[in-house]
Amino acid sequence: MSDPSVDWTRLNAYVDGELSPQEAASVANAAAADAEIARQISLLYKLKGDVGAALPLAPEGLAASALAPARRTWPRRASLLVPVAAVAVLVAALLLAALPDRGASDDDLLASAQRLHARWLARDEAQAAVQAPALMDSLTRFGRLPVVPDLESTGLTIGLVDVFERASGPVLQIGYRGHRGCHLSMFVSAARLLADPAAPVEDPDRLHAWTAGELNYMLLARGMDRSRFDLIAGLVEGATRSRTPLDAADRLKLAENKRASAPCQA
Amino acid sequence: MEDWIEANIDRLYGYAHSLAGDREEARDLVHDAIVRAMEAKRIPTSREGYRPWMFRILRNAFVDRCRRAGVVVFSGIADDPPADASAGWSGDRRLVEIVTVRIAMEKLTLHHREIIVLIDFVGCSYAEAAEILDIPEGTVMSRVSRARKALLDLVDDGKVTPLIRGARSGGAVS
Repeated sequence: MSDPSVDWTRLNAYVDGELSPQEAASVANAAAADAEIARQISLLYKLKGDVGAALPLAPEGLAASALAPARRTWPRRASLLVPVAAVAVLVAALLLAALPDRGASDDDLLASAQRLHARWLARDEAQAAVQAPALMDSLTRFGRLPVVPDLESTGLTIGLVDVFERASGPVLQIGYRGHRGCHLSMFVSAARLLADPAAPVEDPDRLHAWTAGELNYMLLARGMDRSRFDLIAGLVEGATRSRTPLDAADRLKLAENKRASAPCQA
Repeated sequence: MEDWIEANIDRLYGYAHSLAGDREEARDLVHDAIVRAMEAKRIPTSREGYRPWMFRILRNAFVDRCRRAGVVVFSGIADDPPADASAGWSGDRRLVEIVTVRIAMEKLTLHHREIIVLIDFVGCSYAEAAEILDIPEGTVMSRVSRARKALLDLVDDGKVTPLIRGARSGGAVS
């Protein structure tokens, strides 16, 4: 930045509305004369907005439970259990009715994942984008931060983020979609997803599962060109193990492979 | 006071989550803080005073919990590394995505995360943040600028895996 009176600290105070009118006017004039200052200000405003949207919302009923006068006659934790227990029963009933089978076997989990993937394919006509609050809510419910690589270089962007509950814990589903109808689901769980990650699946499904750190991952696609799926799976697995983004060489491989791959059949 | 708490429950919870890093702990902290507030013998006389007062109660509740657990979480000296106050940030703003920011925030020091949450999420002024944190207003100003630079450095340095690049756009159906 060329104006020595406009430093980073002052820019931050400017976007926070903490400068006097004269100081703020001085910064505004400097921004009008210097594109870099204007860029920094724009970036700070965006960051403020992103931070504002990045934090989880309070659980339902927290204020009411803390403010209820009757709470003071109960032990604190017990007072939360009564309303929570009633809600939990209702939620559990709804979940059991709505979710895939909750059986404990790996075959059931694979079948559940395949059903969830198929259901997404069937519903994903609107091609709606994932909104930040829904994404944050899903990650909060999942309770962990998995590695979720950027697959734009292979034409896939995130169109679904959801969490479903199993007896062994929550499972996160992240759905990547392509412009020509390709769909790839990534399932993440702290619990083991498959007994035998190398077990084959029948065409047109593609499956790859592995463990990286404390999390278990599984990629599932239907009708995707096998070489494309294998490349994506190998690079995604590597990224989850190293917890680093795909580098430029990886992205180039994905882009070149996509050009040479057959379109998805599902 | 109760109306104010209900209207600001998300801000209270978000701040508690930034301190505790855990949903259950955050919920308990907020619950504790509200109980303390409702049982307080003296409360601010105007609504303008509620925010710094309530968030200070919540912060103290967190410090008390840490003390009982034998954990020193806020040292006497803020762990702010010296920073070049004049230079701006030169990274690619496309990296600044909400989820990336969320992940990067969890990697910040507690001092940095706390100040960013108070200013950008809770909406405190520098004066209010100074009152909550019991530090001079000038320190708030320098700390928030360092915290944002640290956050942007985390985002840009590849220490955080970018989560979403295209979630804002809906692809055309083909």
